[in-house]
Amino acid sequence: MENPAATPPTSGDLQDAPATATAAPPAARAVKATKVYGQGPTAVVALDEIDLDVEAGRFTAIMGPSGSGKSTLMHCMAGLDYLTSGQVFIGDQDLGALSEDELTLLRRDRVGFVFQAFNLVPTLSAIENITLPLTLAGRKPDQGWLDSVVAATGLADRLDHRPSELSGGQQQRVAVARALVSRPQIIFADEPTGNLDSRSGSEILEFMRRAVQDMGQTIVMVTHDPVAASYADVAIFLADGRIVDRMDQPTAERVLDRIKRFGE
Amino acid sequence: MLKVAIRGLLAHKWRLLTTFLAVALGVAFVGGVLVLSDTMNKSFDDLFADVYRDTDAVVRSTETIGSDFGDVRAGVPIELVDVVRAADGVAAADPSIEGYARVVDKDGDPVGNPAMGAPTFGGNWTDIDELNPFDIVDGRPPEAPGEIVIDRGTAKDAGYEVGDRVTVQTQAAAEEFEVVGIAAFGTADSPGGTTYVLWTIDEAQRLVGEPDRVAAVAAVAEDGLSQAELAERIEAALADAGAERVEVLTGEEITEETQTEIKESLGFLTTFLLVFAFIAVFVGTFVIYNSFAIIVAQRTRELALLRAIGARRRQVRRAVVVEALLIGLVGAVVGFLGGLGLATFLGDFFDLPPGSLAVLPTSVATALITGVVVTVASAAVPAWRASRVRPVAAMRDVSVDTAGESRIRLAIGLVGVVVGVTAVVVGAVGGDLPTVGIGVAVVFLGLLFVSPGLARPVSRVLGAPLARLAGATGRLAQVNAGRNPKRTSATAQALMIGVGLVSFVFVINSSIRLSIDRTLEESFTGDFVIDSGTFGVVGLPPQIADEVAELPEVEVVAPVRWSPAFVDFAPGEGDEGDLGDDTGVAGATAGAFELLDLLVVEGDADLGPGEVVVNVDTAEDHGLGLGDEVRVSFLDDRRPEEARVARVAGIYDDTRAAGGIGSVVVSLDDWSAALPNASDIQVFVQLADGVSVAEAEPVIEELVEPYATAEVQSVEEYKETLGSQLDILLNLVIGLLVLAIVIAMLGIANTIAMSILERTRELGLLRAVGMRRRQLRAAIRWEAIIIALYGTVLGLAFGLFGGWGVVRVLRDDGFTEFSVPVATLAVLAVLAAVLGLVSAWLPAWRASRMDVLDAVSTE
Ligand SMILES: Nc1ncnc2c1ncn2[C@@H]1O[C@H](COP(=O)(O)OP(=O)(O)O)[C@@H](O)[C@H]1O
Ligand SMILES: [Mg+2]
Repeated sequence: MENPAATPPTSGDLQDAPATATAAPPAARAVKATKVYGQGPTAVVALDEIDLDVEAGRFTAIMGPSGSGKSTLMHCMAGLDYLTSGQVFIGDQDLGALSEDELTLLRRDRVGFVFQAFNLVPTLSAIENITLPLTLAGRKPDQGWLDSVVAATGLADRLDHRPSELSGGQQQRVAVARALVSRPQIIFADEPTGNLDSRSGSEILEFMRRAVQDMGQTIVMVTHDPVAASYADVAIFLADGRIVDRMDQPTAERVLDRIKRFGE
Repeated sequence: MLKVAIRGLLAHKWRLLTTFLAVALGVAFVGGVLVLSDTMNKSFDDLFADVYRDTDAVVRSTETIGSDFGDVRAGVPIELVDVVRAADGVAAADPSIEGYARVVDKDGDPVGNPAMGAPTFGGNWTDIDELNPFDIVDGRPPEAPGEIVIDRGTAKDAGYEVGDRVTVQTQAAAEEFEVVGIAAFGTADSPGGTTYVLWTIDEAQRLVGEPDRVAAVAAVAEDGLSQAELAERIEAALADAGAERVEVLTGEEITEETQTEIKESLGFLTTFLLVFAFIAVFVGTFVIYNSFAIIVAQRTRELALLRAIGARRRQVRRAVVVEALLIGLVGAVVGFLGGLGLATFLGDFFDLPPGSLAVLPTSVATALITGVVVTVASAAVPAWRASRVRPVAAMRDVSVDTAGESRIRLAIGLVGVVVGVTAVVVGAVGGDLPTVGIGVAVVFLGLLFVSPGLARPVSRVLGAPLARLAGATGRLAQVNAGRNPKRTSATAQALMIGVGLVSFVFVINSSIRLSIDRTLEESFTGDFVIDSGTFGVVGLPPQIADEVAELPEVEVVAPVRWSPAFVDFAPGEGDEGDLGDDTGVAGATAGAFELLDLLVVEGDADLGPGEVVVNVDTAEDHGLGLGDEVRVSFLDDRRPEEARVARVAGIYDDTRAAGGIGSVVVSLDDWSAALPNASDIQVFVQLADGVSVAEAEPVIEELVEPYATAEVQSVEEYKETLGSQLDILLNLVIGLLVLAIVIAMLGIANTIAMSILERTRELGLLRAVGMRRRQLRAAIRWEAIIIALYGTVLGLAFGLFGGWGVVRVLRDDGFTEFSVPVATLAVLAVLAAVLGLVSAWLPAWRASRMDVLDAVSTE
């Protein structure tokens, strides 16, 4: 790694600070995570006893064909959905032990999200969307941090615009900024570039990579695009609800190569 | 396309629940009022059919006079009773004497109040079974002076039994009687809740009649004689006896006439109630319109698809109309059934015999047609809009309709408001009521046009403190309330109507009360007012004034009487036989002019026999000066016509106090000469120098103690009495407007619930990024509160301004002051906000329960 996450943002609260890459406990963890949809003969095993450690301060890509369980895994790890069995942790917090409201607070304070589309509240301006998790928590933004996040989006002059007045790429950058602003322990992104052209897509991916490298953020990104995966530090391969491979410092060619091999 | 309509309806059935309720509630009110009216008509028809069942003929005077309380009829000379009895074909005849009487209960309180419920009658018992609708159920009929029969209802209410000694108060006296019998009206305790005291003929004559007169004579025919034949024979007998100004009606005629009269007076009640029913229906149209508008907007893609695959505009439009038709029909039917329930409930309230609802086909049709037509008409614009959806919309993302700030619409509305406001101001200042009325209507229409344009800025302002106080939830509520201006404004308008009318009524009420208070403070120099607590409907025995006048504590006692009469302003000018115009005349003494601080501009108010005082307007209208003659004739006037002429002794200015005493004021001597059984409507009392109100009150109270209906009131108490009289009306009107407000609240719930559906994905996102359930609920509730407040603000503005216009324009008719009941209106605003909150409770709860993942992945 050419630029290890040297300067994690400091925060009074130890739990809220992303751990450093070296020798730190994982930012999130799945232990025998199993998710079954439906019952009886029509039951679908979306996750099949998955064990996964998401390393702190790294950019992890989760790859796999459609229907392999990527989204399900992400939703369960992010506290949006419940497992059928097994455990998931954010830091050392077992999500299974949390009530609905505690899960909400965990998402608000310790997890960031970027969805494929419909990431923003249409009635709020860009800056209001960015600061939404803080306003929901009734907290004042740390102005210095907010400034640097905003600067990184390159949208400083469009902050008062409504989402409908921004391009798709700009909207996604606002979404990433919103995920960053509360300095979450971990950010989950589900196909964040899925709806974008390749140029806008690479802007977002670049933005996320900088967030990991320069700000020490931990990001987990679901994608089926090999080019997108090449921005990550590590790629995890899923098929039929199981982890089938793992690749450090993936490049587009190597990922493509690997995917082709699955296909055979 | 019918299939599409029905499918659409079924798919949206929960969404249309509130629409259905809005239709059903409105129809229930309309249907309930109609059925109640049919039922009351029928039960009064039955009642009078019973009363006159075996009466074959009635003799009565032809002389009537119009008054505020309906026509008053003169009596017939008592000698005619014997003429009728002796007439050929008459099997039996008896006089009927009827007047005001109230039984006093064991606590000394009068039973019933004719000003607020069924009449309280006193009359004569007749031994002729055919003429007597009552049956003795205990004891015996009255046979001697001092004996009475009372109806079973009164006996039950007051707990009286045969043998009890009971005080009865009439306008002539308050005396004690022995109950010798209790009578029932068929199977009922009393006819329609009316209380009855029945004396012997002589006693009734003395207590509720005029000497030598009876109200009418009723007769029964000999066997085999028809009613018409009997009437003819009685007419002949009367003519032979030289009776003038009397007529004979058959039993059927009098039954029908009485039934028609009561129907007319009930007609007022029906119309009054129907006005409020239609207000509720009108408010419902906003809810219905909004529902369909939202549904059409939400189905844009589906409609576009239909269009793309070849549905014609007309077909799309018809699909929506059919949907509205079905909702309207179901809502109307269910509503009408609810209306039957309402009518039963109100029937109990009005003491109608149970289980006898009269449901006429016209009422059913009216209610159902109202429901269906209103629903379809409300959906017409959304249906038209649906047909304008372009097929390409199927391929596009559906964008939320944020239009509403149409400049043309806003401009039209603003022009309307400005024109309306100008008309109201000009009309109010110039004293022109129709202009004010039209102006208020134009302002209302203008507001309907302007309000979508105002929805966003106003929600911004109303929501601003919220955004500051409640943070993210407040901010979201603020922006969401202004998100669909048309939707918000249609929702708020429904509430505006109810709040506007309620605040208008409050302003009028408070202005009248203040005006009365001020007038009394400024012009009434007395210390007490004694009246019968019936708001001037009936009077008190004149002995009260005489007795109070004897008290050493009292300086001035001024009784005032009132009656309709004929006044000829130019007697002896070749109009023999014409008694003059129907005019309300007052009877008073100089003391009344003094205590009411009335300015006598010419002559004096020292009324002696043969003198009258007139007000300035009357003097001007009829060219009267001091010493000119006028002739005042009462019904049953005992004076010969020559003795009724009086001279104008004074002219007074009644514009200073609220209305003065009356246009023509007669001396009490003349009054008593004309009507020996006269009564005082009010007695004004001024205390001697150095006697305090606190000292005098118990003395006067003790003196009038035997007169149960007499109420001795200090000026403060009197103000309160007048005020409480207004409050009864106020409460009734507010009560009738409640349904309109409830429907408007349904509208808020409806809009919120439908908007939430539209925002599922957004709400899911908010939950995903960490909005707590209760924050989400709060945001939705705040949004509803902002919409409710918007409607309230519009309504208050409208109600206050309209109230101001009406009060100003009527300033010469007693509205001397304009008063805004600030505290009451503030409570109203808070209440509206609370109701907004309540109406959003369920939608908010449901929104907070939805699954985050499902919401995020909703198409
Ligand atoms: N709500 C659901 N109900 C039933 N089956 C589901 C549901 N969501 C996902 N699945 C199934 O679970 C499997 C994994 O889905 P998903 O996690 O969405 O895959 P991916 O994101 O990799 O395309 C698929 O077979 C899918 O059909
Ligand atoms: Mg997926």
